[in-house]
Amino acid sequence: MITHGYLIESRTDANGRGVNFRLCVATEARAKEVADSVPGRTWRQVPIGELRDVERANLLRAVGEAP
Amino acid sequence: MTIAFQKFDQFVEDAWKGVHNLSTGALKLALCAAANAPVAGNSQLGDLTQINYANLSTRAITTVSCEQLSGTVRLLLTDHVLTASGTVAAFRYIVLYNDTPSGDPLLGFWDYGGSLTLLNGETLSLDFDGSAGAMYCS
Repeated sequence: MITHGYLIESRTDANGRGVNFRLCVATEARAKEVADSVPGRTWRQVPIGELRDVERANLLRAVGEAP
Repeated sequence: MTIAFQKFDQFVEDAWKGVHNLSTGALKLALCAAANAPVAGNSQLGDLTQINYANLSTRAITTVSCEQLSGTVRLLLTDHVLTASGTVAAFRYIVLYNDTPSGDPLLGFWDYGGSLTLLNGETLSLDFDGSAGAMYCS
Protein backbone atom coordinates (compact mmCIF):
# COMPACT_ATOMS: atom_id res chain seq x y z
CA MET A 1 0.00 0.00 0.00
CA ILE A 2 1.48 3.31 -1.02
CA THR A 3 1.46 6.00 1.64
CA HIS A 4 3.11 8.87 -0.19
CA GLY A 5 3.33 10.55 -3.54
CA TYR A 6 6.09 12.77 -4.82
CA LEU A 7 5.73 16.17 -6.42
CA ILE A 8 8.03 18.06 -8.76
CA GLU A 9 6.82 21.61 -9.32
CA SER A 10 7.80 24.74 -11.19
CA ARG A 11 6.67 28.33 -10.98
CA THR A 12 5.40 31.09 -13.22
CA ASP A 13 7.70 33.76 -14.55
CA ALA A 14 8.62 36.95 -12.69
CA ASN A 15 5.49 38.70 -13.91
CA GLY A 16 3.26 35.99 -12.59
CA ARG A 17 2.28 34.83 -16.01
CA GLY A 18 2.44 31.39 -17.35
CA VAL A 19 1.85 28.19 -15.54
CA ASN A 20 2.95 26.10 -12.61
CA PHE A 21 3.71 22.57 -13.72
CA ARG A 22 2.99 20.03 -11.01
CA LEU A 23 4.14 16.51 -11.73
CA CYS A 24 3.02 13.72 -9.40
CA VAL A 25 4.92 10.44 -9.36
CA ALA A 26 4.84 7.32 -7.23
CA THR A 27 8.37 6.80 -5.98
CA GLU A 28 11.31 8.75 -4.60
CA ALA A 29 13.61 7.28 -7.21
CA ARG A 30 11.33 8.47 -9.96
CA ALA A 31 11.06 11.92 -8.39
CA LYS A 32 14.83 12.21 -8.21
CA GLU A 33 15.16 11.02 -11.79
CA VAL A 34 12.82 13.71 -13.06
CA ALA A 35 14.16 16.49 -10.85
CA ASP A 36 17.74 15.69 -11.83
CA SER A 37 16.86 15.90 -15.50
CA VAL A 38 15.56 19.48 -15.29
CA PRO A 39 17.84 22.29 -14.04
CA GLY A 40 16.61 23.95 -10.89
CA ARG A 41 13.77 21.50 -10.27
CA THR A 42 13.32 19.93 -6.82
CA TRP A 43 11.02 17.26 -5.46
CA ARG A 44 9.14 16.69 -2.23
CA GLN A 45 7.32 13.86 -0.58
CA VAL A 46 3.63 14.29 0.19
CA PRO A 47 1.34 12.00 2.22
CA ILE A 48 -1.08 10.24 -0.09
CA GLY A 49 -4.01 11.85 1.66
CA GLU A 50 -2.70 15.33 0.93
CA LEU A 51 -2.43 14.88 -2.80
CA ARG A 52 -5.12 16.22 -5.06
CA ASP A 53 -7.93 13.79 -5.77
CA VAL A 54 -6.89 13.20 -9.37
CA GLU A 55 -3.25 12.63 -8.38
CA ARG A 56 -4.14 10.17 -5.64
CA ALA A 57 -6.65 8.31 -7.75
CA ASN A 58 -4.21 7.80 -10.61
CA LEU A 59 -1.34 6.69 -8.41
CA LEU A 60 -3.56 4.13 -6.70
CA ARG A 61 -4.94 2.95 -10.02
CA ALA A 62 -1.46 2.46 -11.41
CA VAL A 63 -0.41 0.25 -8.49
CA GLY A 64 -3.67 -1.67 -8.48
CA GLU A 65 -5.01 -0.30 -5.22
CA ALA A 66 -8.58 0.83 -4.69
CA PRO A 67 -8.99 4.60 -4.18
CA MET B 1 12.54 27.82 -11.62
CA THR B 2 10.23 30.01 -13.68
CA ILE B 3 8.54 28.94 -16.84
CA ALA B 4 7.72 31.81 -19.16
CA PHE B 5 5.06 31.72 -21.84
CA GLN B 6 6.62 32.37 -25.24
CA LYS B 7 4.19 33.62 -27.84
CA PHE B 8 4.51 32.93 -31.54
CA ASP B 9 5.15 35.95 -33.75
CA GLN B 10 2.13 35.31 -35.96
CA PHE B 11 -0.22 35.27 -32.97
CA VAL B 12 -0.15 39.04 -32.50
CA GLU B 13 -1.11 39.60 -36.12
CA ASP B 14 -3.79 36.92 -35.97
CA ALA B 15 -5.22 38.51 -32.84
CA TRP B 16 -5.54 41.91 -34.55
CA LYS B 17 -6.98 40.51 -37.76
CA GLY B 18 -9.80 38.60 -36.12
CA VAL B 19 -8.40 35.10 -36.53
CA HIS B 20 -8.88 34.38 -32.83
CA ASN B 21 -11.81 34.72 -30.49
CA LEU B 22 -10.15 33.51 -27.33
CA SER B 23 -13.38 33.76 -25.41
CA THR B 24 -15.07 31.09 -27.52
CA GLY B 25 -12.27 29.27 -29.33
CA ALA B 26 -11.48 25.66 -28.50
CA LEU B 27 -8.02 25.87 -27.03
CA LYS B 28 -5.87 22.76 -26.92
CA LEU B 29 -2.38 21.66 -26.02
CA ALA B 30 0.14 20.14 -28.38
CA LEU B 31 3.27 18.47 -27.09
CA CYS B 32 6.65 18.45 -28.82
CA ALA B 33 9.79 16.52 -28.07
CA ALA B 34 13.05 18.19 -27.13
CA ALA B 35 14.41 17.61 -30.61
CA ASN B 36 11.43 19.37 -32.18
CA ALA B 37 11.35 22.67 -30.37
CA PRO B 38 8.79 25.21 -31.56
CA VAL B 39 10.24 28.41 -32.96
CA ALA B 40 8.89 31.94 -33.00
CA GLY B 41 8.15 31.73 -36.71
CA ASN B 42 5.75 28.81 -36.36
CA SER B 43 2.17 29.85 -36.97
CA GLN B 44 -0.07 26.81 -37.33
CA LEU B 45 -0.34 23.37 -35.80
CA GLY B 46 0.94 21.83 -39.01
CA ASP B 47 4.26 23.58 -38.48
CA LEU B 48 4.93 21.49 -35.40
CA THR B 49 6.18 17.95 -35.01
CA GLN B 50 4.01 16.50 -32.27
CA ILE B 51 4.55 13.44 -30.12
CA ASN B 52 2.39 10.32 -30.29
CA TYR B 53 -0.46 10.90 -27.85
CA ALA B 54 -1.11 7.27 -27.00
CA ASN B 55 -1.90 6.76 -23.31
CA LEU B 56 -2.46 10.47 -22.69
CA SER B 57 -5.70 12.04 -21.51
CA THR B 58 -7.46 14.90 -23.23
CA ARG B 59 -5.50 17.97 -24.21
CA ALA B 60 -8.54 20.20 -24.52
CA ILE B 61 -8.34 23.34 -22.36
CA THR B 62 -11.30 25.11 -20.80
CA THR B 63 -11.36 28.88 -21.03
CA VAL B 64 -12.69 30.67 -17.98
CA SER B 65 -12.76 34.13 -19.50
CA CYS B 66 -11.05 36.50 -21.87
CA GLU B 67 -12.04 39.96 -20.72
CA GLN B 68 -10.42 43.33 -20.22
CA LEU B 69 -10.20 45.27 -17.01
CA SER B 70 -8.69 48.75 -16.95
CA GLY B 71 -7.37 48.24 -20.43
CA THR B 72 -5.68 44.89 -19.87
CA VAL B 73 -7.19 41.77 -21.37
CA ARG B 74 -6.38 38.50 -19.62
CA LEU B 75 -6.88 34.96 -20.78
CA LEU B 76 -7.97 32.93 -17.77
CA LEU B 77 -7.89 29.17 -18.18
CA THR B 78 -9.12 26.32 -16.02
CA ASP B 79 -6.28 24.29 -14.56
CA HIS B 80 -5.68 21.19 -16.63
CA VAL B 81 -4.36 17.74 -15.79
CA LEU B 82 -2.58 15.49 -18.25
CA THR B 83 -2.91 11.89 -17.08
CA ALA B 84 -0.90 8.91 -18.30
CA SER B 85 -2.66 5.57 -18.58
CA GLY B 86 0.54 4.00 -19.86
CA THR B 87 3.91 5.35 -20.94
CA VAL B 88 3.59 8.56 -22.92
CA ALA B 89 6.18 9.59 -25.50
CA ALA B 90 8.76 12.04 -24.20
CA PHE B 91 8.06 15.72 -24.61
CA ARG B 92 9.55 19.00 -23.50
CA TYR B 93 7.46 21.75 -25.09
CA ILE B 94 3.80 22.38 -24.38
CA VAL B 95 2.09 24.46 -27.03
CA LEU B 96 -1.23 26.28 -26.72
CA TYR B 97 -3.23 26.56 -29.93
CA ASN B 98 -6.72 27.42 -31.11
CA ASP B 99 -8.50 24.42 -32.57
CA THR B 100 -11.44 26.45 -33.91
CA PRO B 101 -10.10 28.54 -36.81
CA SER B 102 -8.94 26.89 -39.99
CA GLY B 103 -5.33 25.79 -39.75
CA ASP B 104 -5.30 25.66 -35.95
CA PRO B 105 -3.31 28.83 -35.32
CA LEU B 106 -0.77 28.83 -32.51
CA LEU B 107 -0.72 31.12 -29.49
CA GLY B 108 2.45 30.31 -27.60
CA PHE B 109 4.30 27.64 -25.68
CA TRP B 110 5.99 26.69 -22.44
CA ASP B 111 9.33 24.94 -22.08
CA TYR B 112 9.20 22.33 -19.32
CA GLY B 113 12.96 22.69 -19.03
CA GLY B 114 13.89 19.14 -19.86
CA SER B 115 12.51 16.08 -21.57
CA LEU B 116 9.69 14.40 -19.66
CA THR B 117 8.23 10.93 -20.11
CA LEU B 118 5.01 10.36 -18.23
CA LEU B 119 4.60 6.84 -16.84
CA ASN B 120 1.37 5.02 -16.04
CA GLY B 121 -0.45 6.73 -13.18
CA GLU B 122 1.57 9.93 -13.31
CA THR B 123 -0.15 13.27 -13.70
CA LEU B 124 1.14 16.59 -14.95
CA SER B 125 -1.05 19.41 -13.72
CA LEU B 126 -0.94 22.77 -15.42
CA ASP B 127 -1.90 25.30 -12.76
CA PHE B 128 -2.68 28.45 -14.68
CA ASP B 129 -2.52 31.76 -12.87
CA GLY B 130 -6.09 32.58 -11.95
CA SER B 131 -5.40 36.28 -11.57
CA ALA B 132 -2.70 37.31 -14.04
CA GLY B 133 -3.94 34.81 -16.59
CA ALA B 134 -2.09 32.40 -18.84
CA MET B 135 -1.41 35.41 -21.06
CA TYR B 136 -2.46 39.04 -21.20
CA CYS B 137 -2.23 42.14 -23.31
CA SER B 138 -2.23 45.72 -22.14
